[in-house]
Amino acid sequence: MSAHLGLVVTAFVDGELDHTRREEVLAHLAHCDACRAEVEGVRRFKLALRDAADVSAVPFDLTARLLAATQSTPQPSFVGPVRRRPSHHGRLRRTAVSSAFVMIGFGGALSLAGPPPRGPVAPVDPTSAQFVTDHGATSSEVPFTELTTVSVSRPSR
Amino acid sequence: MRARYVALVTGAGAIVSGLPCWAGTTPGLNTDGPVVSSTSVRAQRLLESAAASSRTRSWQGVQHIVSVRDGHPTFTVLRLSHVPGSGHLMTVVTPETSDAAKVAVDQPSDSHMLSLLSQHYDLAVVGRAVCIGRKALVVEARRRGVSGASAVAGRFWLDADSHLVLRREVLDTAGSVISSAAFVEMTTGPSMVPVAQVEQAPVHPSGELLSNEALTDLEQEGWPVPRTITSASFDLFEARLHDDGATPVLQLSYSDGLSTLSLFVQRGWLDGDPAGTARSLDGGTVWIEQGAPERVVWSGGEFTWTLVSDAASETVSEAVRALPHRASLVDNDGVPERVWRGMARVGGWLNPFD
Repeated sequence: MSAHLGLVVTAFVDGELDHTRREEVLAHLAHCDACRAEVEGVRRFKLALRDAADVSAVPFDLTARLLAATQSTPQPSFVGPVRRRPSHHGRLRRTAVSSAFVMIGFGGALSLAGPPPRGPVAPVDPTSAQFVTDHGATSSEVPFTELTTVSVSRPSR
Repeated sequence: MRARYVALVTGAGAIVSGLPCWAGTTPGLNTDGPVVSSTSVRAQRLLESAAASSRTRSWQGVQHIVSVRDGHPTFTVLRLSHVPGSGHLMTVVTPETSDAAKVAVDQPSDSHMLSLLSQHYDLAVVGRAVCIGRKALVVEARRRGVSGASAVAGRFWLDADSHLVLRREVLDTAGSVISSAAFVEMTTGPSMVPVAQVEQAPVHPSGELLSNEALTDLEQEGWPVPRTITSASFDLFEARLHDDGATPVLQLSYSDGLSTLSLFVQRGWLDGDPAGTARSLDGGTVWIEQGAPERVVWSGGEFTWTLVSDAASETVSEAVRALPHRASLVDNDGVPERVWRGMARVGGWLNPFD
């Protein structure tokens, strides 16, 4: 494998490659520092995301602290809070930040997409002797061809 | 070393076959030089006559076959007979097998198949020889644009009387014989083996024969159907679909008139290592089982490919290289699909239960 792994990295990290491709990727990683670093980076990113979404990481006293904060909050008056209208400058800044997040998400999704999922594993054993029999039967149509392969027994496919 | 080994094997084959053709009558060694017109038209007519004779005449004989793959020879001895209208009756003498003692084989006449040889090679009548006591004419099939010993791709010894093929050799580009089929006994006339002795039904190709329209439909469904392979020297001459269950297998048959390549294509990927020796080929991995025929298995694109061939190993390797033999590193779907797939992947990573 002369080229770098590219989009195959994420599929490799997620264990989506078949046996053959996994072996090829491992062989490539054995001598390619850049791809090894990329695989490690994707693994770290995946772990970081998992950690960020881990419900067990929520502090155990969060509920008590929220309740305490609620009790110390003054009761609202009949006059609602005055909402400051964001300035033109602030709207621009928020739009820019939102756009940046969208672009980052867009680009991230593109780069993490990985290769398209492949079809199922070939269900017929490709080493089936039936293939040799079929080859022999067809070869006999070519003039002067030796008839040796025709003699192979005919197992069911 | 390899040439020496092949020479040894060929010599052994000649000894086994009882020196069916006189030593020194090989065209390149014939000091008398060509004594017969070497026009390709005459050679073509002689071969057409040979194909017709093998079907229209009664004959019987013993044929010795030597195939060499990767330096390993395979010997087969066949007893063959033919009765016009009844096909060939073949008995495998060596190796001894219990399930293929007698097989009837039909070799249909097809002018297109006969023309494959002249389409891909220059044919020439190059000399006379004596095979198993019979006068023979020697016809060569030569590679175009190649000179010297490596130019000869095939040689036929044709009985001067009946035009039956007494001996046939296929050579690789190094000039080594990779396949030799020689009659060591042959008689013409009524068969001595009654056709009633046939123990197995005539062998016919299985699967559904596909028309050009059906092939085009399959191509539109994403099946690969290359019309030629190995630098366009092997033409697709037949396609069959084996759909006897949930798993369709597309069989594509190619020939250059001397050898045959059968390509079996299945949707899906290999699961684990198949039998054979794993070899790296242009970044992909293929599994090769040497023998006659040679078998190569690999995953490439969205398919699993199995190539079965009696051609030279170099031709087989060239064919594999010409076909998809590794996964595509770059997906070719659109940006929306990739974004959606990437978001789904990140979503999966965020899901602690995934």
